[in-house]
Amino acid sequence: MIFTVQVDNPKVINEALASSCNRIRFGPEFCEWKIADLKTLEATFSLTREKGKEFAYVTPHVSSKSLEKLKEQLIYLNDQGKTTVVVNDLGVLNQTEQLSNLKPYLGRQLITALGRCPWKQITEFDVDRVERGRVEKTFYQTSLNYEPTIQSFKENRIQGADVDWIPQSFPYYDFLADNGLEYSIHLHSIPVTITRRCHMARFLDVTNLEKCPRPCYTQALRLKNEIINLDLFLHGNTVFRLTEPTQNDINRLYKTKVSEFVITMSPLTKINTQKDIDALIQKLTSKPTLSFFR
Amino acid sequence: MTTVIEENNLPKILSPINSYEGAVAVVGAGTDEIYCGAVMPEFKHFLGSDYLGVFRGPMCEIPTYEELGRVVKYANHHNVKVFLTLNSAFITESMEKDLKTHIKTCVDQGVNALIVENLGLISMIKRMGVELPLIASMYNIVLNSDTIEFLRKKGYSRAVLECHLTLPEIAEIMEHSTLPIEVFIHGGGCSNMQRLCMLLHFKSKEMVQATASEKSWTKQPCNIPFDIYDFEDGQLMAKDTPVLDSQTMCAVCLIPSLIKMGIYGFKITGRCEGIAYQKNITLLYRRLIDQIARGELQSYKETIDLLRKDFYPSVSSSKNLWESCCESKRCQYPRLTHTPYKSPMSWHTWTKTQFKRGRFEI
Repeated sequence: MIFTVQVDNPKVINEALASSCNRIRFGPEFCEWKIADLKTLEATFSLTREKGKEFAYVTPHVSSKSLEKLKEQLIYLNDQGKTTVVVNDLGVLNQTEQLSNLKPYLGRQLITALGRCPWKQITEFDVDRVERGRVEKTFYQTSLNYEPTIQSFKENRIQGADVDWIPQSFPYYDFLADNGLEYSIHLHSIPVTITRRCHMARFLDVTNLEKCPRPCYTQALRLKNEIINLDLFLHGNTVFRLTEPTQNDINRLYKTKVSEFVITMSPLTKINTQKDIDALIQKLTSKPTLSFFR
Repeated sequence: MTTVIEENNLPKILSPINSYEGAVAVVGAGTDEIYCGAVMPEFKHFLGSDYLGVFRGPMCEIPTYEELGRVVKYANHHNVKVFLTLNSAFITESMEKDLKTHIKTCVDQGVNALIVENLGLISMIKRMGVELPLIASMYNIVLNSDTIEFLRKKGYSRAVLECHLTLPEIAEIMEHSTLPIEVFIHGGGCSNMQRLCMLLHFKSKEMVQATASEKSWTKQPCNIPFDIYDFEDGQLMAKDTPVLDSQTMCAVCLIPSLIKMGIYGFKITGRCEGIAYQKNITLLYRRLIDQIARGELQSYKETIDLLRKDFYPSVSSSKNLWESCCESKRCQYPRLTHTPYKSPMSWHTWTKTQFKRGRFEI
């Protein structure tokens, strides 16, 4: 099992490097305005290698302008040897085609997972039980639970995919491994909806995203409304749900073919220090309290 | 001096329909192409609502295959092509059999092209031996020309751009695009990128009840005002703020710019709307595009001025188009953070109201 720390803020990378994680994922998953410059990428890459950890680069969905910025970074990474690049944009995936050392990995934005937000109609409305069961079974699968979809992505050398911590979906994730894709599971934060018109920047009166002071490095917002009755959290351009991994769910996951746990450092996950990371890794590796779960 | 644009260089208007009567109406209104879905009998019983947040549900689709066949026959007879929407971002092994039957039946009815997102679905369509043109739906999230090239290599022959782009970004894409491009010009205007928005299927009992009452803003979860707290210290930062709502709806002023960029198709949102809406929005854009094509820019501007003055968002509101939309910059393809907060009233709602009241005659 690989324990990976995902971080987009270069200022806290040392905390991740000092931790007991195996791999660093560097780069913004959701926001193109947070893509680091080449110099920062080079420095982070070198530091990670010096610490004897693996390096993976995370890329968001991108406009043409941001893709131009990414192109030189992808070429740099390709020159360093085999490197995993998490892609959330088909244009970025297209760019990796000619860069044979890059190992593209499907990010969460290229996978549809309806279970990221509960479907109240399943649980609250009067629906025929058989129909409800049929729909619920499909609802908790992902868009990769179809072999031709996986094959189509494999034509583009996709090696694996990111999935969410949605316990009802756990039974369907091994389908990916059975069809030749590794899969990595994100702890804590589940993206419910994403915009390019950054809701957080707008709320905080940021008028130019290219010069955004990146308040999301230090701040997240909680959204409450009694009618929607769902805990939502706004962090940058993405609205999340939060989940806390239970020991039971961890035990269940160890029985699956998951290959990587992804721990994201952010004000939303409240994983900010080496100590936080190590405590979580210890929780994830501790022996199951009830042995029959295994 | 007037500049006349040749017909070949004009963008096609793509109108939505959900019935035969709708097809007759939009063809009469001057549409160039039609797009629609058809109800999958296997899925139609589930609440008559969004099925898995993927298919739009019976209200938004042509109810029977027989009716789809009549639509195709009528439209094709008037040189209007019909595109079938299969833009599912989601297909699983368990859905395959039903989807195959659905596609085969629709193809047998004579549809002219398929609108598709899912790469697995494309693979399935090819294995079925279907050789119709494939159009990449907005669910493909096209934000750059490399994505278009990727889609071209996967077998698509046309692509729709994501709505969350600015005009300069669209121009940049158009310079390097390897496929004909469509853009949405009217309606919809989701705050979030649709393919990635899972709030769409979050409709609690409380929301449905509130929607049925006077609180119409609860129709979509993103329209709801939230109390906003700092996550770290729990301090209340703002009350009742529609923080997720930055909807944009209108592109009447952008038509010349979009034509200049070489956009192939102007797509109108509204498969779930009534016939009057589908017809009148088609008429509106037909009129504006034709005015530009004839070089009648002054008439085009006058029509827009008329819209600004004489369109009123709702029966109970005294705000016209200028006050409710233009003034607060609710245009399609705006800069990414500028839109001020306001009490949301969708363009759909107010245009429907206007046409119903006969306030605006085309």
